[in-house]
Amino acid sequence: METNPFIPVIVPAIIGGVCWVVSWRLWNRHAPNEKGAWGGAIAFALGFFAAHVLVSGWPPFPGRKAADWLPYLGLVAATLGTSERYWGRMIITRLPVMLIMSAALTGVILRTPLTGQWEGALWYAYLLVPTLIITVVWQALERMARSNPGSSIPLACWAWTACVGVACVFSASAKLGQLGGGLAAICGAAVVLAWWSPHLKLGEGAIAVLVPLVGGLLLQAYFFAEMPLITLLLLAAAPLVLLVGERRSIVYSAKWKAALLRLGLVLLPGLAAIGVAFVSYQRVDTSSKYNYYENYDGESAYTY
Amino acid sequence: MNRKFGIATAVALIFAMPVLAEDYKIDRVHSHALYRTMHLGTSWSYGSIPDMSGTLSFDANDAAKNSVSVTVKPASVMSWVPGRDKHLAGPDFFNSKEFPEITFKSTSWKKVDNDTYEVTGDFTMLGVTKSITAQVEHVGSGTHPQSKKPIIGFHTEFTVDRSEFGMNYGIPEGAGPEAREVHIIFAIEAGQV
Repeated sequence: METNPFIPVIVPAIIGGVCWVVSWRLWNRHAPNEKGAWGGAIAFALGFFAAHVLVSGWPPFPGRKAADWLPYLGLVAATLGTSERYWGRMIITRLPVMLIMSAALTGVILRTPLTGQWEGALWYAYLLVPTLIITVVWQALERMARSNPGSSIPLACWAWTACVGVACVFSASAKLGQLGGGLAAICGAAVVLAWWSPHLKLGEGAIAVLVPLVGGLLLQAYFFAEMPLITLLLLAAAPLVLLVGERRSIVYSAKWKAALLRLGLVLLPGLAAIGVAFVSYQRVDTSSKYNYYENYDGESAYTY
Repeated sequence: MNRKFGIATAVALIFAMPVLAEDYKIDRVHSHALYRTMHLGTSWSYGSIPDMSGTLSFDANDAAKNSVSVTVKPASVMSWVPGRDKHLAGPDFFNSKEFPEITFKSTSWKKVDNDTYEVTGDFTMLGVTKSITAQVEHVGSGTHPQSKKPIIGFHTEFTVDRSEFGMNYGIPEGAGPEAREVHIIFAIEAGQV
């Protein structure tokens, strides 16, 4: 489906904005609903679903390909995000939930190669490594999002998702790029609203949906499109670089300074990832895909 | 005398047996999977998927014995623009890493006239299987000058609606069926196994 390329960006931003305004009751700028964190989970899940419908049409259920499943996985993650205050405050309950969700996401997105192409140690590696990376990124970002209300973390998440979207475009998938753009737009709405009401935060809800969705996009971009491994690793590491911003000197500096520093910390690996993807995309594969002189599964051709 | 009669009878029986369908293997070098799609409602855009393999059984006298199985690997898609090839092979179109093969397996053959058959079969792309019917032309048969084995050639063109296979990318909103249709051409040469 081809719509105006701005529509899959504008619509998720509006959906996300409405969810945040309603859940946090942001019309009361200085005393919003402090229990409104669940709205962020709904914002990302519904916004992403809308972006998917606008880019690729309504996803069939059960999904046939990985891309069909991601919007539904977003809804599953939203149920976790909206109830996070009940399971997410103690590491003993949080860690198993995060691991199960990350493993389920990896298993569903990589379902086709896991069931037909990979075996043995490779099978375990391709299931476990992404599961662990998603869990680590989720845990790190969640921790920072809880302790840093305001526009600083949403701005860093906007930069991260925007870099993911652009890198996907240079990995031969405009569709994944547009979906990354949709996530960036939802983060953008959060930046504006958190600037208006600095109580707003992404912790205890939004991150539980954002990280699995970005993880799902990156898994598709690497395994099914042309995303280089270095780009994948840089984008996966970008939120972890934010941990540098947790130094006391930065946390207690002026908010605009901390926000700019966090933005720079994410953009550094993010832009490097885009650069690597761009250079890789420009490189033309000159090796023949098809050996003219081979025939009958490798035997020499009789004539040509 | 009896021995000679026995041999003659056996030879006569062999020739009197109904002709069996012969098995052939697709010659990749001389076979082509091509497609054409409408671009912006103004022109035909052509492409090729050269990595093609498969088998066929053919009996000119009894179409019911015929069968064909063709597999093409969309990772090899060529549109003569390298950047576009990557895009076509990726998740937006053929999604060739998640679905490495496009297949066609015949389920029935009907003879229409001397050299034309109506072949029905299962066409599978992007994990979706649809039954399609195509007019297949038997282009010719002969003997390969070097292998000295029988060779045979067929040609067909049929149309699929790519949106039915979940390939929706780039279809303009509100566009007519021509924007979704992909015309697929199989030009097959096969040598006897």
